[in-house]
Amino acid sequence: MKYVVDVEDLVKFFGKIRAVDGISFQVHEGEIFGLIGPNGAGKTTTLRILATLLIPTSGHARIYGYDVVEDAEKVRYIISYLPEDAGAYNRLTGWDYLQFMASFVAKNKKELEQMVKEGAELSGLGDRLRDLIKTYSKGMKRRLVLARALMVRPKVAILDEPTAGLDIIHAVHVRNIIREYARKYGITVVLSSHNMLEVEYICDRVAIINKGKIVAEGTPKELKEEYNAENLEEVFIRVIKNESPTSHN
Amino acid sequence: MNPLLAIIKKEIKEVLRDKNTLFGVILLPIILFPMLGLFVSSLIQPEVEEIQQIDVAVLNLDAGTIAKEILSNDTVRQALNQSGIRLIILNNLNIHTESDAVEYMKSNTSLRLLLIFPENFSFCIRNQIIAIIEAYYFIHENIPMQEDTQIISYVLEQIKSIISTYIIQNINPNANPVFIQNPISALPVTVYRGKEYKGVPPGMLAGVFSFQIMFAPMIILLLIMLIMNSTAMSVASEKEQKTLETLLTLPVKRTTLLLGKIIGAVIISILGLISYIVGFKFYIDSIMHSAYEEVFVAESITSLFTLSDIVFIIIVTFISLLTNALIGIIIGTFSEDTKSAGTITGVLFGPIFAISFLLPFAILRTPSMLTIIGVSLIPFVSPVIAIFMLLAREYLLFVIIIAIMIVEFIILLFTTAKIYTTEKILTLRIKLRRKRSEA
Repeated sequence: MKYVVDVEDLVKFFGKIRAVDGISFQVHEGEIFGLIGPNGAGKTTTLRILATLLIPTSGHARIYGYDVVEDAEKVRYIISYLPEDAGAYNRLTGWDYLQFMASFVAKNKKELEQMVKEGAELSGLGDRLRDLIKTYSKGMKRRLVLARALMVRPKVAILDEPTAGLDIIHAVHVRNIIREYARKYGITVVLSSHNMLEVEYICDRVAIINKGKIVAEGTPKELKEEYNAENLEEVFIRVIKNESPTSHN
Repeated sequence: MNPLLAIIKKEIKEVLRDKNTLFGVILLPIILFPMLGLFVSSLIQPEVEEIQQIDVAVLNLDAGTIAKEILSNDTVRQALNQSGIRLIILNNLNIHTESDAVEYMKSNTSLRLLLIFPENFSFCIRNQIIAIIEAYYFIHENIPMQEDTQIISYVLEQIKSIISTYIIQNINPNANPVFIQNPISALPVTVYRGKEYKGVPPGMLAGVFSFQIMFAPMIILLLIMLIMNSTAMSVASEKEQKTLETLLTLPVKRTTLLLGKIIGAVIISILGLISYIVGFKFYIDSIMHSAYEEVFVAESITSLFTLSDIVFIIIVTFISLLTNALIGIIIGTFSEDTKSAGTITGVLFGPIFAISFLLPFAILRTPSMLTIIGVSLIPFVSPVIAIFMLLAREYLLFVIIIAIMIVEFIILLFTTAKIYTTEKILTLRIKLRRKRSEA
């Protein structure tokens, strides 16, 4: 099977701190893959490496066969990255922002207009798009930046904590959009999240990451069966507590 | 679609919608220019008082005997010597015409003042008619900075008092007191770069030129500050608004992002420049019209800058703007948010302005090639010195300074591109924080 994302023995040091400690995983085309783990586990660092923002100390990461270090510019044409705390330009309107972002991807004016229209629909912000972004709530901003990430229909969407800090209504909106959009256009998604229920709902496959290492990997169903757990939250806690999968059988 | 155009458009839109930036661009000149004018004039003035000895060349064209009697009188000479005035009678050097005297003065850089006693001097004195003495002042320097605005009136006051005494003692003690008090009047003629400015005192001409000399560096310095602030804020604001990471993962070359920010800042600076020029002109007009209306007569006589000067000044300004845009970007990279970027640039502006403005003036008083080159290594000072060197017609030094500026720009461009094209743009701040916490 064709791997869209191929991470191999990835290591990243910040000074003496080993943020990522030799992780490997693969993501198939059209798959929604979730990285879950506690704070400081190395999720964001891994996603930042995939997004060409950080350079790994060792190991490799490839997207559609392009190395994220050697072919960083080519990778940027394939991916769309949503940082965990992504903001938008406060002194632009929502429309300005979507137009600005679309102008890097659209090949002509028609395509740009189409992208912006799609972004506007995805955001669900309606007339508020005419207002300056500084007047938006956190949820509105998140919906806008997610719409920005998806409106360009990237081959691979890298979403870091897409629903972090959102209330339930905004979180459900964002979750549904990711799922529907990925299915509709065959977008491969790599996301990180703290929210186990969310991951269970959205992701086809997950990897649990702890202290820079992947400690468990599989579909939510497989993991639940393996750890004899009712949901991913239980799996997560057992994995983090370093319990053996067999001890529950 | 053109990504570069999109970035430039976004940069300009953001700045123009920022009330604080607009306020600063418009308000700053109104506060800054009057303060600067006062400061610089106080810097130039004290030189006047330090002159101990004035050599004054005199050409006596008097057809009568009075001028000769006064000028050759030992008591008169002694009295003038006590006042710090030493007369050099050009007639004794076999110079007998006004044009010869002017030529002699042009070639003799130690002499600045030439008084010409007119042919009708004796006639005027005897008939109680005010005699007109032409007072030539020669500016030998390429940049008139230290011209004594009082020198002509001081010398003439002394001579006037001697002539008054002479009239009372030797001609008519009962002459009209008004005439006795003012037997002579001076017609100032200032000679600068071979041109004679009749009726223009040296102080006025120097004032006009000082204004012109200061104007270009001042505008450049203000532009430097504007552009540095603009780029620093732009990068810091990307960090503050958490947009930098997204921007860096867009399908556009990092160097294009960098270029977009620089061009955006240059356009904003030019908009700022227009505001500054309007503000400055308004300020100068208002104070000059009330105090020195005739300055504008002198100003219309000449301009210090030739067309080639202006072209070179634009080149210097452009290189300097690009260099300082890059410095601003580096400052923004090190800053956590716009507040800290504003603090860093704010802290820097005072010393930059002081160093860039005072250092070149100080250096011009004791110019040495090595000192000039050394000081030109400071990026903010180099454009000011380059302009001074241009005006002083020191073309070799001008070229050397331009070369220094270009090298500095290339080094900074390379450094900034390195920061932008690697993960350093995200990690530099982290390293600094760690160093701080370790300390």
